[in-house]
Amino acid sequence: MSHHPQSVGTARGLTASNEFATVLVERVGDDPALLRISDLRRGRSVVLDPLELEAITRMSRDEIRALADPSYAGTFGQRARGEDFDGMVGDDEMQIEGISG
Amino acid sequence: MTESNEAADPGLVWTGPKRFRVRTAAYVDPVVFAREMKRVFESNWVFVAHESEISEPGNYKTSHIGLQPVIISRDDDRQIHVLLNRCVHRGAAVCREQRGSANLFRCPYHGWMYGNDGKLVGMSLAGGDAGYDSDFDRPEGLVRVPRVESYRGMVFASLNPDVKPLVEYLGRAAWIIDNKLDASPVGQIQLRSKPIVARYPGNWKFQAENIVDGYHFSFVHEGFTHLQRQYQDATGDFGVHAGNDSPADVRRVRSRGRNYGTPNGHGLTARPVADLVPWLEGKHGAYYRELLDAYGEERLKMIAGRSTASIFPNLGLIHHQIRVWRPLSANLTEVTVYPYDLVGVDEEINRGWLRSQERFYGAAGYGQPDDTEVFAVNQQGLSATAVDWLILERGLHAERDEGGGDWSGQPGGEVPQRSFWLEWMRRMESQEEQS
Repeated sequence: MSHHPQSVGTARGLTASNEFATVLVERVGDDPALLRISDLRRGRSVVLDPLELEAITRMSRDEIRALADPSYAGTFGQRARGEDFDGMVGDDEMQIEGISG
Repeated sequence: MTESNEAADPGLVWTGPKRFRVRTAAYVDPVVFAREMKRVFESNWVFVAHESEISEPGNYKTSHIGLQPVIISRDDDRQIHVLLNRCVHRGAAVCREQRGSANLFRCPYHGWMYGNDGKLVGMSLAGGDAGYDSDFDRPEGLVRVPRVESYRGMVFASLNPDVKPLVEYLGRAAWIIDNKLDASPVGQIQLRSKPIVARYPGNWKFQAENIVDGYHFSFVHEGFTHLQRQYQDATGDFGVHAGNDSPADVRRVRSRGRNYGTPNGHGLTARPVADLVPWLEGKHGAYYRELLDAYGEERLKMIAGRSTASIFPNLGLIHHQIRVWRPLSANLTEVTVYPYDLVGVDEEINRGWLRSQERFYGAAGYGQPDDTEVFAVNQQGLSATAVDWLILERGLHAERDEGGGDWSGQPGGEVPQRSFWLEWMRRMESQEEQS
């Protein structure tokens, strides 16, 4: 996977990438309603329906920033589940082992 | 113009009515280098970007003010920000690419996140006993470079909040920028091509001096002049060189016009074309006639001619390019050539000028590699520190006052180089913070 800034099409969807993140946006099967967004660097994904996606269009830049705020465990572990570092380790020990040091 | 300091210890630059010499240490001494990063770069205006490099919201590029890394970004409101490229947490460079698009920047070390306006969005894993206390003194974000101003799309930044207004600083150099940009019928340029980047093992000031040096051409670029003599226009006119600007007439063109020195250290060369007919009746005559209607004959002669600038301390304008020389150490420099397109002209004209630049300034071109080679040879020669001085006295006896603190001399003389060194000396030797 290249980490250079680019947006490329694949058989399944579109990849958006810059030096900070790489995500894939694709249809879920042939369902016209659902889009899956996958974080290709960490292997997580979320499926969003049109109303959820529409909601993003109504968000201000500050609200999107709040959504992206890494203050809680979202960066490496389950978003908002563990609100502190210890909780995050419990949720995602395997990932943390790989990144420590 | 030059005042004498012959009575005292001349220091690094020795000036007098018939004297202009620069000490070897000015090019080789690491102590001098550290001082000039503070006095010449960090207290001064430094070019950081052209607006067309970050034309859309979310675009950013990275650059430097001396040794200080910076990010230049454009936010949702199209506002340009110049930010120090250093995470306020533990110092990592936040943006590592030369250019890109991002609304958010994430530090690679611990994941602190910033908006492209520099504001801190959040510290990762902030809560809990391993995180930050509720009364943590939270930084606002990336540290902002205090002054940012543009002249005709050229963005300059300064770490000195008290620096004088940019237009005042540019002075007569703005006239050279105008000569360049007014070659576009809408007065705009666009940096569309990828830059040409090269490093040389020599001091950055060789490039500052050389871009406005008419004296070296017949020697450093002797190979190119031989080719031109032998093959005439067959070395390529690219459909854009015309009449008395043809390659065979380079030597004659170079003796026309004037060199200028300015109080802020810029060195300038302005060489008007002698005769507009070959341009007005040439392949792109319609374009030049449009400019003639807009500007008149005298101004067009200057626009169609050759204007070159060494804008203190590290910005050059020559041909159809913006050039930046970035000091890395006393004996290592990176040169970036940004070819630009003229907005509002036929694609064929821009393509021709680009091919012309590749011929001379490209990595395999006839000219620029010879220049960087000679800069390396200069640095090699200056290893002979047993010799104190370099001599920059050409045309010193025939300088002419141009008013407003500017002065001029014949092309081929060393007025632009003396202009650079006088400002360099003023900044290096002053007891006060400079503006």
